Amino acid sequence: MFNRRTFGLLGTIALGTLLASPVMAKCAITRTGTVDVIGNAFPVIDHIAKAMQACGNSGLTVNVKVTDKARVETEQAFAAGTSPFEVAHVSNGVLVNLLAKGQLQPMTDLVNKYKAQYKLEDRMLVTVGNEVYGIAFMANAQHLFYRKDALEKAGVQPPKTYPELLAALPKLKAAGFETPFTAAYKTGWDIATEFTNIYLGDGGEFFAPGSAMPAFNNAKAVAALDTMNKLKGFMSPNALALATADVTTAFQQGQAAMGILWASRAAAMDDDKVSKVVNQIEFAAAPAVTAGGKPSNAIWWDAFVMPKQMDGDREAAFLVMMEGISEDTMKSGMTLTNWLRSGFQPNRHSKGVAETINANAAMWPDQPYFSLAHAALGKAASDVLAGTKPAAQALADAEKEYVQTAKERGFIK
Amino acid sequence: MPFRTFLGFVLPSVVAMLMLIALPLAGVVYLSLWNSYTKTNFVETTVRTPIGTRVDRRPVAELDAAGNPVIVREWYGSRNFETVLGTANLADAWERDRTVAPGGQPASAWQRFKALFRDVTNVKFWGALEFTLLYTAVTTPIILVLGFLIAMGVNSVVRELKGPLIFASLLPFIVTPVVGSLSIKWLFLDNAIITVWLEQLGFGKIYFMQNAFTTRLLIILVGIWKATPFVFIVLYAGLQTVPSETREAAIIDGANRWQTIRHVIIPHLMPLFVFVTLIHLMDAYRVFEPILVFSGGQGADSLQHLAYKILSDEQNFHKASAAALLMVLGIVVLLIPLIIKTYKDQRRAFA
Repeated sequence: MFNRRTFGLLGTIALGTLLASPVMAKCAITRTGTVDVIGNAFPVIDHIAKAMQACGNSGLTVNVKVTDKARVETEQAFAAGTSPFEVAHVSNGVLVNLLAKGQLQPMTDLVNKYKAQYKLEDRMLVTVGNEVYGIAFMANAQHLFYRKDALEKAGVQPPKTYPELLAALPKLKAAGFETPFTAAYKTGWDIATEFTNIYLGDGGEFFAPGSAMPAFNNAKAVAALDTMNKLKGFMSPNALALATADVTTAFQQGQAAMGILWASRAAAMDDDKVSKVVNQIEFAAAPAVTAGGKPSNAIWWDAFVMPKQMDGDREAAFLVMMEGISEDTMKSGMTLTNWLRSGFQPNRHSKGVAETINANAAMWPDQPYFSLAHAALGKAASDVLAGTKPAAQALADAEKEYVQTAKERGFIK
Repeated sequence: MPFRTFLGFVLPSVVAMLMLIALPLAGVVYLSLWNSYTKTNFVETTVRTPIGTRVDRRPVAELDAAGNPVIVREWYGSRNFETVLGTANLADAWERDRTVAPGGQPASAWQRFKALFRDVTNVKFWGALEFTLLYTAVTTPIILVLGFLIAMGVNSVVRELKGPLIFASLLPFIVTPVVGSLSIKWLFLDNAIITVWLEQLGFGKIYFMQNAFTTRLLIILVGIWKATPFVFIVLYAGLQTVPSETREAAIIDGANRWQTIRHVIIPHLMPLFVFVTLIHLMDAYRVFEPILVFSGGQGADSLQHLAYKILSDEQNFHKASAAALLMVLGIVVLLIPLIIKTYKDQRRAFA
């Protein structure tokens, strides 16, 4: 069945596909060896991956693994004796964890050597003390997405606060949206992140200052869970199973009129191959908890880092990273994300993040023990919204669970 | 057989089993008895990020003379196991007073049992165990019956149809598990193909992930869809070996179709039924992907998913090892009756 001709044909097709992919700016790295990169799966990372792969030549192999399990895989890879990846794309949430475990490699010397060549800007450098540990390239946030046409039809203004949002939803439902609101409420990481946004927007604190002791079992947390419960009433009954990709689809298919979603998905709304709502979605900062308050979301940034324990050529790895986030890569993918380079031209997709930054929204909690609290809250919030536990009990359980895990990781004595 | 020859046959597999099964298992046991973490100290630190500079006291890894982070290792003994089992929470659940029902009247024995069951399964490990066992108990008989029916069906169709039918039946078996579960999620979400079909057929709008019952049903259905082909292919192969003499003799003796199946085919396939049951029990007990994709642990959790969450959320290899060991222990308990039966059969065969 598969004779030589078939293979020959397949080979030609494969080669054709390779050659047909958009031609990236020429990458001229003269170093040799292998560079393995891992990154989280969303549109701009695919774009960066292509730029990095373009650096591959007879002497240099570049492998880029893009996966939605990158967060988990990176932490385990960097903890290994020798990391299988020389470069990793991480969000600020993961970067602080790796930093606290002493698993990141300072790149200060390489930054100094190549700063001019790659036009690295100071705001892109993540430094602790005098050492550079990461090169940031984009800002991200979860913010409001809304259907302009639907809001106009229902006579609703884009909401500035959650009470306004909750008041608008029945009107949108009456206007024909069976499930007008959507957000990633999937049990675990996603729902914990939504909780964090609303709780931070209310000025909530997670820890006692300067220590790892929990401080999230309080009235503000109960109020945040209450808001989420009310929102769930306007979501698909499948709410607790909705991950980011499902929320993206809900918008693209025209099922949702308003929702909270990652800025990195904004460009996908106008992709006419998969979206029925091209140019109908508008973007704004997340609603505040109370009138005049800060938007209830947090600013994230994404960076590339190198593990402390690695073999192979660190300079080659650094250069591949530089090519991936070069000015040319930005120019050929300007609308894919909110680039941190000063040459970035804001567009309609970047409005949500710009508003969030201008409104001085909270920073995503960057304590290395926050991910433990976040994990405990992911279960608690889901239990409350599923109706299996009252908020007070769920928060008390989460607090207990967090203290246990923080003790095991040595953050609480 | 001379001992040397015996060794020559057995040694390679003994070495392979030691290296691939015993050694990793010993490693996991070792890990589960310890705890370790990177030693950090709260130090005033200046962190500069794209959105501003923050100066505060935060944990910083302590470095040794060579510049490597200092790792603290602590002997934990059974502590990881106790944490995973939730022994403290379990004791609380056991001692809670349930003599009064929510209405104020004395609680009946059934109400008390239900409340106790709810409180116990609220402790993560026991909740996960409950659904893992339920999943195993429900899927096993269904896939045995379905797989057998499909095998009988395919066996009796004309030659030309067999190829395509076998291919179609094996499809769910070939689809990689996570990809399978992911794409299946997109079949069952709002306005997805299957949801829309069911709506058009008059079943109304079904939200498959709306509560514990629907989520569990969906996970079990997907499990059946994925495991049936395995039963089918094994039994179908077995059907090819049913001796035609016996079958013909049964027909001549006046046995009808059902009697032939009952007294000739099923006894002939019995060892294969035992084999697929054994394999499926182990597979079902490890149910993971559908939990990860559909429920994330809400309404339906599994032991494998619990171990994964400990590893991915807490980066705690030690506690995850304890969870994995407790799971293996469960499989062993589950398999004891079948292992005893196989042992007896083997003894009889060699007697």
